[in-house]
Amino acid sequence: MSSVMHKTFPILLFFWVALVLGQNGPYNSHATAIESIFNGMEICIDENSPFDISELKIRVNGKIFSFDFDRNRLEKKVLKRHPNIPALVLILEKNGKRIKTLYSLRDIFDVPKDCYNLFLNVDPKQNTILLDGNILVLTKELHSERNKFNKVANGVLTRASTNTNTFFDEDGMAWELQPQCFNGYHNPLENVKLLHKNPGGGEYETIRKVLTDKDKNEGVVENSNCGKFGIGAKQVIKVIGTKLTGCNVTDPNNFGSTYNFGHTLLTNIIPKNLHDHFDVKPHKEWQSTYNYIQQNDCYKKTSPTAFLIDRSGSMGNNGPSGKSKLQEAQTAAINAITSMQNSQNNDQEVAFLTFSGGCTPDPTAGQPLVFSNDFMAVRRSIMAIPCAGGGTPLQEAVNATTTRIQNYVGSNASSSQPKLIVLSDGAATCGQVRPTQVYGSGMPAAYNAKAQNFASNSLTTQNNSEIPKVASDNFEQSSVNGIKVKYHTIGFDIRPGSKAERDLQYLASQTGGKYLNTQNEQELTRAFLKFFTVYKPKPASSLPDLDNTLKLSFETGVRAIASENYTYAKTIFEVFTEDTANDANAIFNLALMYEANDYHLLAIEKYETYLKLSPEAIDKEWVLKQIELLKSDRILFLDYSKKILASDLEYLKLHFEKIQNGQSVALADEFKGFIKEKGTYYDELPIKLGIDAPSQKNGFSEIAEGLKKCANLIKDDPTTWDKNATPPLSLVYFNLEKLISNF
Amino acid sequence: MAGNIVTTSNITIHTKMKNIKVILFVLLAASALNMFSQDEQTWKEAIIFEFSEPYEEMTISFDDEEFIFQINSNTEFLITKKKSIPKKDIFLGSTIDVSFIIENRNRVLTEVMVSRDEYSDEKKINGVFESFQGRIGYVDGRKIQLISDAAIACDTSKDCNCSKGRTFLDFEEIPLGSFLTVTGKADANGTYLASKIEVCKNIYTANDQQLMTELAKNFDATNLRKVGKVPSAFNSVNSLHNGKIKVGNLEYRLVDDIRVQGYINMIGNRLLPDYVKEESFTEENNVSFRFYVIESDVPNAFAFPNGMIFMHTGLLKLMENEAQIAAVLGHEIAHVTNEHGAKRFKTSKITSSGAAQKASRWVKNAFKKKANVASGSLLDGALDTALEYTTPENVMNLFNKKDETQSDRVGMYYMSQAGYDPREAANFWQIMMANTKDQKFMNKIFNSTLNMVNTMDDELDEINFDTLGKDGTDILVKTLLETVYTSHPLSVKRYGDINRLLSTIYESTDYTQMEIGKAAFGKYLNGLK
Repeated sequence: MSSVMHKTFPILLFFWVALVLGQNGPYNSHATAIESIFNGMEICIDENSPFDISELKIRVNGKIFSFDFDRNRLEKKVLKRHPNIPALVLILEKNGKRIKTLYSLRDIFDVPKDCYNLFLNVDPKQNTILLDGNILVLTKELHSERNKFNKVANGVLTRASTNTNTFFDEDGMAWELQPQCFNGYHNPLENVKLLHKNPGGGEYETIRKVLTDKDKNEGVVENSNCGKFGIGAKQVIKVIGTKLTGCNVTDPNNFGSTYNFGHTLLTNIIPKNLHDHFDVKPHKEWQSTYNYIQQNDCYKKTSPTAFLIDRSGSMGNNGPSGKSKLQEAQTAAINAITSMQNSQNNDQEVAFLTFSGGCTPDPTAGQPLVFSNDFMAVRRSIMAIPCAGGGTPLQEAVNATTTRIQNYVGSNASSSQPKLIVLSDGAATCGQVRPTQVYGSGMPAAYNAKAQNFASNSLTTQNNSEIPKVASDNFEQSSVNGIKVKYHTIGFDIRPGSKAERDLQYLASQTGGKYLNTQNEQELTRAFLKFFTVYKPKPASSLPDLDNTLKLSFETGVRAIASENYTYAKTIFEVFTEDTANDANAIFNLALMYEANDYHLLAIEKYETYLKLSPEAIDKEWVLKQIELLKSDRILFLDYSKKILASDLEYLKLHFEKIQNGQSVALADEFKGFIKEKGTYYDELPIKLGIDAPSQKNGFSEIAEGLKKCANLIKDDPTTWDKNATPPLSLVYFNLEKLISNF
Repeated sequence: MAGNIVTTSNITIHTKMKNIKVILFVLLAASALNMFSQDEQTWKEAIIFEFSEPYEEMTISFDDEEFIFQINSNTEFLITKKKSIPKKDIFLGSTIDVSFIIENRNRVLTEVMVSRDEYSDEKKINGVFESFQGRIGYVDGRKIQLISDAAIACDTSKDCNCSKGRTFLDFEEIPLGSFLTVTGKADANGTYLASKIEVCKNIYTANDQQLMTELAKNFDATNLRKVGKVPSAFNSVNSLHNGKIKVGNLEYRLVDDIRVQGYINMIGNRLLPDYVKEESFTEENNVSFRFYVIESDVPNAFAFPNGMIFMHTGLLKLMENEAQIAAVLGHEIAHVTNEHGAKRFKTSKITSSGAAQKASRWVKNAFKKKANVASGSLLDGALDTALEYTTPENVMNLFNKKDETQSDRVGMYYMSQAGYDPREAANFWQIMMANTKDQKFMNKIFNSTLNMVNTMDDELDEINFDTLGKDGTDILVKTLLETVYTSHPLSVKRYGDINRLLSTIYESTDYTQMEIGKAAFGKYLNGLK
C-alpha cells in the first residue's frame, strides 16, 4: 500500500477502514490518496502507476509560471536543476539522479517500483520555489481499496417527479437515469444505467437490472430504437413508473459495484474518456461477466430466520444422548448458531419460539418474537426455553408464527425472504396440516396460492412495491405480492414415512423449503446449519473465451442460486458442463447444487473434479471438508431411504388390502396423492443413492413408471382408475419388495 | 340370492329336462348305427391323440370322444391327394381327415389326410412382425429370412393404411407390430425363406374403436350394482374397491394378495414385445396390457382385445414354475397382439348398434346349437336370459383353432425372447392333458363353475331360472367351462403344436441360459396351494 505519502500509509489505511465501516463519507475515495504537492516530496509507486496532478500553481521568485513544456521555457536568470532541459517541468529523481521527466500532468510513471523525489526543474538553492496543487498517484493496492469507496444506488429508487429522470435512492442520493444504447458491458436490454454527479466533480455509476411490475406500471422497461447513436447502436432502455427496484450489477471479483468514475474531489482532472485508465481492471476486461448480479446488493442485507421448536410432552422424553430431546434440540441450535457466528458474511437475524399445549389460535402467544444478531442474546433465549409438556398444535403454531414474521418483516422493510425453521417430533394434535389429497410433500402445482388450504401465507402491506421480489419467470415460486415465509422443517426422532413426517414435508414443499429427518443431536445440528447455508457460487466461468449463449447461461445459473432456486440451477449447470467439462467454476457450482439437492455422491464427484481442474484452488480446504460432510450425509441418507422404502411398501400393501375389502374410501384421496408424488421420488432416487446395478436401476425406473401410469389413470378416469391401476400398483409393490431385499 | 338356483331347479323342473335327454339319445343312437357299416367312412377334422412307433394304432379325438383306429400296410398317409407324408413326420394334435372301414368290429384306417395348413412347406404366413435383426425377422412366432430378391410391398386392403405401389427395402423399413403376409418356404431348421412380404400396418379402425368401447362398457362394469353412497372419489358404482371385477356378468374376486398380482404382472410385462410397451401403441390402439389373478378354481386364462389378461388361480395351482406361467401369459398376449378378438369381432359382422348384445347373441346361438335347443322352444327363453348373465359379452374364449395354434407359436416366441425355457410350455400342456383326462379333476372344476353360476349377480333373481333345470344348468356350466384350458382334445392339440415347434423352430436352441424360475414361483405362489 502506498501513494503519495511519507511513510504514512498505516494512518491512511486506518482512515480508509474507518471510512468504509462508517459508510458516512462524502464520496471521496481518492481524497485520502490526494496529496498537496511540494517540491522534493517523496512518491512511492508501483511500476506503471498512473498519476494526476491538478490545480498546479507554480511561483518561481515571485513570478507565476504554468507547467507547459513548449511555451514556458525557463528564463535565463532562473537556474535550472538540470541545465540540459530548458523547460519548466517536473522531474523524478532518485539520489539526485534524474529518472524521469514529466512532460504531462497526467501520465504513467513507467519507472521501476520504488520511492522517488519530485522536483521542479529549478534549482532550489538559487531560487524561491512555491508549488501549490494536488497530486494523485494510484498504486494497485490503493486502487483496489478505492473501489470500496464506490457508491451505488441503495434500495428502491423513487422518481423525483413525473417528468424527470432523476430518482432518489433510500439514502436520499439523487441518480440520473441515462439513455443508453447498445453496450457490451451494461446490456441495456435488461439493465439501466444511473449516474450520480458528484458536486466535487466526477460521478458514480449504478447499473441495475430492473425488476418490473407491469400491474403496477412500475419499473417497466421500454425499448426503443437508438436512432442517432449510429452503427452498432441497438436499443435504449427507459423506465416507466415511479419506482425502480432491482439488483445492481457488479463485477465478478466483488471489488465493488459497477465502475465508478470521478468519485474524487479532484476537479475534472480525469477526463471521462480516460476513466478506464484509472481502473484496477477496466470493466471492458471483465467482458460479459461484468454483468454479475450480487443479490445482496439489492436490498438491505438482513435475513430473518425464526426457529419454531416443538415443546410438546414427547420432547421431554430422553433422546439417544440421554438428555431430553428438547435439551438436545437446544444444544443443537446453540451449536448451529455458534458455528454460524464463526463463519463470515453473517447477516442473519435469529429469533426463537416454541410451541405446545392446546388448540389455541396462537400457541406462541406470550412469547416475544425478537430478531437479533446478537448471538449471546439468542443463546440466552434458547437456554431459557421452559420444560416440555402438552400437545403439538403444529398447524396453529406455524400459522401464528408466519403472521408474526410477516408483520415483523413488513414493518422493518427487511429484504431477503424470511425463513421459519420448524422442528417437531410428532404428529399435529390440532388442526390438519396436509389437505386430504396430499400424501407428503404434494405436487409442485400446490405451490400456487389457490392450492393452499393451509394458512394464507401472505401479508399485504401498504408498501407492496417496496417489498423485494425476485424475477419469477423461470422459477416455481409464487409471484404473489407480499411476503412469503419459507418453511424449512425438521423431523426429530420421527419414523420415516410417518404421518408426522409427511406433515412436515408438506409444510416445507409448499414454500419451496426443505425437509430433513434427524435422529440425534449431531444430525440436528447439521440440519440447522444446512438451512442457514448460503450457497456461494463462483460468479463467472473459468474459461476465457465463452460464447455469449454460454455466458448467459452461466449467469442465469448463478442468479438461480442467488434466488435459492436450486433445482433450476442444478439443471442449468448440468447442461452447461456438458459442453464445458473443463470449466472448474461451473463444475464447482454444479457440485454446490448437487449438494443443495441432496445428490451426495454426484456432489462429491464434482467437488473432486473441481479440485482436479484447479488443484491450487484457494477454497481447497473448504471443498475437502465439504466432501467429508457429504460422505457422512450420504450414509445417513442411505439409511433414511431404506426406511422410506419400507414405509412405502407397507403403505402400498395396506392400501391394496383396503381397496380389496372396500375400506379404501377414507384414505383414497391421500393414496392418490401418494401415487402422484412418489413417481418423481423414485425417478430421482437411484441417482441420489448412486445405484449402478442395472437390475436395481431398472427396478426403480419400473416403480417410477408404474406410479406415473397410475397417476395418468387417475387423471384420465378419476372415479374408476383403481381397477386399471391394480396391475401397475402390484408391479410397483413387486419391484419395491425386491429392491428392499437387495438393498 | 342366486345361490339357490340349482336347488330350486332340481325340485321343480325335472320333467322338462327329459326333452333334452331324448334328443341327445337320438343323436347317440344315430352315430352308433353308423359303426356297423362296412362301407368306407370319412370323419373330418379329427385330432390325433396318440400315434407312435411302431405305428400300429392311432387314437383320435372326434366329437369330444376318443377312438382307436387300426393301421395296416394299406393305410395311406397323405398331404395332398397324390403326395404322401412319412408317418414319423406326423405330430400329435394334428388335425386330420380320416377314412376307414370296419373289420372285425375294429376301425381300420384306409387314409389319413393331414391338413395342408399344418404341413405344407410352401405357404403363406400371416402374423405380427415382432422384431428383426438384419435380414432375419420374427413374424407369427417364426423366424423369417429375406432371400436376396425378396419383394416387400404394401397390402393394399382398405384397413392396412399402406399405399398401393409402396415398397420396402428391408425389415428396417417396416414398423414393428405390422401385420405381414409372408410367402416363403421353410428350410430344415424351420426358418422361412421369404420371397414375398405384404405389409399391413397396424391401424386402429373404426371397427376396433367400436369394439374397445363395447369392451370398456362391459368390463368397466358400469352396470355394477351400487354398494351404497360413498363420499369419495372412489365411486362405488364403477370401482374395484370391493375387490371384485366383473367380466361380462360374472363377478370374480381378485386375489387378495398384492404380491401374487405383482408377480404375475412382472412376468407378463417381461414377455411383452417392446413395441407394445410404447405409449404410442397404447394410444393408437387403445391397448394396454394389464394382468389380473382372479379367484376361481376353474383352470382358465383369457384375454381381452384391450390388453386385459386374466389368470385364474385354478390354472396357477396346476403349474410348476414361472416359465409355465410365461407360456400361458405369452399365449394370451399373442391373442391380443394378433388381434384375434378384434378379428373375430370383425368377422362376426357386427356393425350396427348394440354390438355387444349381438356378440352375445352369437355366443348364445352357438351354445343353443350345441345344446340342440330349438329356437323358440321351451328352454330357449330361459337359456337366453341365463346366457345374458353368464357369458362374457364378447367372444374372447371362442377363438378358432387356427388362432390358438398361432398364439402357441407367438407365445413361445415371447417366452423364449424373455429368457424362459420354452420346453416348459410343453410340460405345462402335458399337465393339462393329464388333468383334463382325469374325471375327478373335471368334476371338481365342474362344481366350481356351478358355484360360480350360483353366486352370480343377484339381479339374476329376476330371471326364472327354474325353467333351466339341472340339466340346463349343467349345459350352461359346461359351456362356460369349454375353454382351451379345460378341453382335453384342445389340450392335446396344444401339446402337439408345441412339441412340433420345439423340434423345428427351437431345435437348435441353447436352453442352458434359459430360465425356469422355480424358486421365485415358490416364493410368490406357495400361498395359493
